[in-house]
Amino acid sequence: MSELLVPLPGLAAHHLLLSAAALGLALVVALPLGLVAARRPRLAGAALGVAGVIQTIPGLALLALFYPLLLAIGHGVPALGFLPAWLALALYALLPILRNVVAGLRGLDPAVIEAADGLGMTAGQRLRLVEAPLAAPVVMAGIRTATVWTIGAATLATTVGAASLGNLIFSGLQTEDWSQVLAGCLASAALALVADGLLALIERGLARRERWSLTLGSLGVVAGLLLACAPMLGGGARPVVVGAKNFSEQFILARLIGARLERAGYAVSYREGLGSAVALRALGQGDIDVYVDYSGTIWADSMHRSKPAPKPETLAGIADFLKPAALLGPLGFENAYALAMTKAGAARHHVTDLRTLAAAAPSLTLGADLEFLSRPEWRAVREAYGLRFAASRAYAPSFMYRALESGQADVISAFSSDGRIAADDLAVLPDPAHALPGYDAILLVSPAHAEDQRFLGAIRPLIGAIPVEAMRRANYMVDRDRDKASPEAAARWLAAQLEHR
Amino acid sequence: MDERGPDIRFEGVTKRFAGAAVSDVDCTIAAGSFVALVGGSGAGKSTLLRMVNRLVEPDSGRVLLGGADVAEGPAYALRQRIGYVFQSIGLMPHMSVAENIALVPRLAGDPPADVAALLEMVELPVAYASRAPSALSGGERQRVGVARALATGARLMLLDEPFGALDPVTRDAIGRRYRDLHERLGLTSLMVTHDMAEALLLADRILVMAKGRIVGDATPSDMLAGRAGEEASALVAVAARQAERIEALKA
Repeated sequence: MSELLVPLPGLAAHHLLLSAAALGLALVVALPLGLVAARRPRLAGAALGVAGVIQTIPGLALLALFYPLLLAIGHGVPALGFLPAWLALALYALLPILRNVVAGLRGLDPAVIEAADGLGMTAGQRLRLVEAPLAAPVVMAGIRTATVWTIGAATLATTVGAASLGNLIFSGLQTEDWSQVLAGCLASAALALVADGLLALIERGLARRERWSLTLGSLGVVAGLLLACAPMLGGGARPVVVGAKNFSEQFILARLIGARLERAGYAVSYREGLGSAVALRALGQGDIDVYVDYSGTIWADSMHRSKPAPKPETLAGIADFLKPAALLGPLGFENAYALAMTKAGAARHHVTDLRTLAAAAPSLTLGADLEFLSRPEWRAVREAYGLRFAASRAYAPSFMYRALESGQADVISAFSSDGRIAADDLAVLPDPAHALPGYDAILLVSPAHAEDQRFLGAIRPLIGAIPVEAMRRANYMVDRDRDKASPEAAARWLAAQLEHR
Repeated sequence: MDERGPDIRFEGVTKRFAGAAVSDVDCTIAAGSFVALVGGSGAGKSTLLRMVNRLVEPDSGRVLLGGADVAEGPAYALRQRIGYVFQSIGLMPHMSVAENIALVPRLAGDPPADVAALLEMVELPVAYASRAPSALSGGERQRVGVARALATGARLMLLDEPFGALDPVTRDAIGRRYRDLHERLGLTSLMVTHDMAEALLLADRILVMAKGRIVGDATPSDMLAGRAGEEASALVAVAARQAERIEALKA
């Protein structure tokens, strides 16, 4: 638990600054727009309509959409990280502010406006002395709504690589570490409540003209922002960014890489929970500097090759495809689709590999994850060995292992580096015909560091250094139901194993 | 500024609206006079009044104050030199009574208003200065409205149904008080009202409007004597009949 709290202040600070920056941008747009729109009903209708439509886009999708949009702009505009999160959240915050500015100004007593004009106020004086102070409480209520929404939605910024409290939530979800998820949720909720409370104080000060609540609220907001800025004032150099996709193995490997880079004197930051396609493109853009991908994923999904090729050919092809980014080398293990049995079951049915499995299959039941039976890997292996099972059933991954344990299934589809293979003492059936494509874990480096010997030197010792047994155990430390380790702890354990070899 | 308020001249003033239009009005209101504009709803009374301080701009014709065209210079500067009192008062709810009264000199960058003297002028206790408008009765609020208009130092007052929303007793008191101020300060007052009795009792001269034109122009005594034309006589007759019926009830 205490380890859990280490990244919390930093993430909370990022979260707060991101939210504040988004709200600031939304205010800069919505205040003048609302002011103009309040006097022009057609403009108001259009502006509120557009903002309303934006509001209906799920926050996650809005963030995701900014990635290709910024990518299309190009010219060195970063497509990942702060920028897309900032823009998407600002758009999201627009509606409540805009709506309340228009409502606040339209709701003013016409007699007061007539008096302001009749007394001889200029348009500026009327705005400053009459409209702004009278509409302020309503506008402030809109800002409060926007603030609470933005702080909540900012947890989603993690998915486009901006650090936020969502980092805890997303990595916790993947590793089923609920205390981490809870910590992220509670921290984000607390942040929203405190911000709302301070703004409520300001709103009260504006509405009742109480100077003390106005002062107290404003001081609180300023203090919070300064506190969040404090960590930024330190190191000036851009940290190197280690990327990770959205499952435990990736989190562990990212920390393993990050620790080596830190030891080599780099400031390291992490972008975790990236989508598979996003990660590779982010590497090409230089938004992340290093991460681990799998040869089969790039071969099939990015290079669109339909047939597997021998490992050296695959790796050479990928290295060529990735240029100017670099493929530093395979880590030494695969995370591939495989078929697995209990060791006892394999012995009973005289199964030693996929070829001998074909003979026993007609009396066996296949348990597969939800995706496997419709994937090309399954078609390939079925045709190569002539596998005909008595029955096949689909399970959610964790139930698949239980089905095997309880005898409901005799053979299951598995990922070869899954920690439960070691924990449940399963036999992974070899594939002598090489029907299943290779999914070698490969270390990829961004163009900026492709020739950087200091950088490469720090991580090169990982090449060929991680046997699948070690990776399985590290994964299991994070994935198991009880006594879970954090990805950092698993990475430390893994690093120690590598040094003992 | 002149001791007395300026004269007002309307020259061929026309405003076309769907509702209350004004058609080709020519008329001069003498400096220091108290003129009431009466007529039915939609007769164009308020439109004519609001063209003096340019809350309404005429389509054609012009309005002169003391010989100067009101269209010259910015509208806000003109309005700061004219007192404006209207039915819904429009006190700033977020300002105290004193801040409301002192508003126009503050806008114009003039020396601050003597709030205590102005409150005394409209017969309100000086202690009211720090109160919020919401803490005042309707009559008190309109007294503040009058004080605010006087604080400009203006000698021309435009009053648009100023006492229309007040109860009869308050209305009578505040009306008479205003008439006294008009005398004492040498104001030029142009007042829109739909109440003929009020016009007869307060004004020196009554302009009757119908369909955007001035159809009657007479002193109260001429008007009561029926020398001001048909429209005027009809309006006077209503007030007179009411008075007669009250007399009859007493008997």
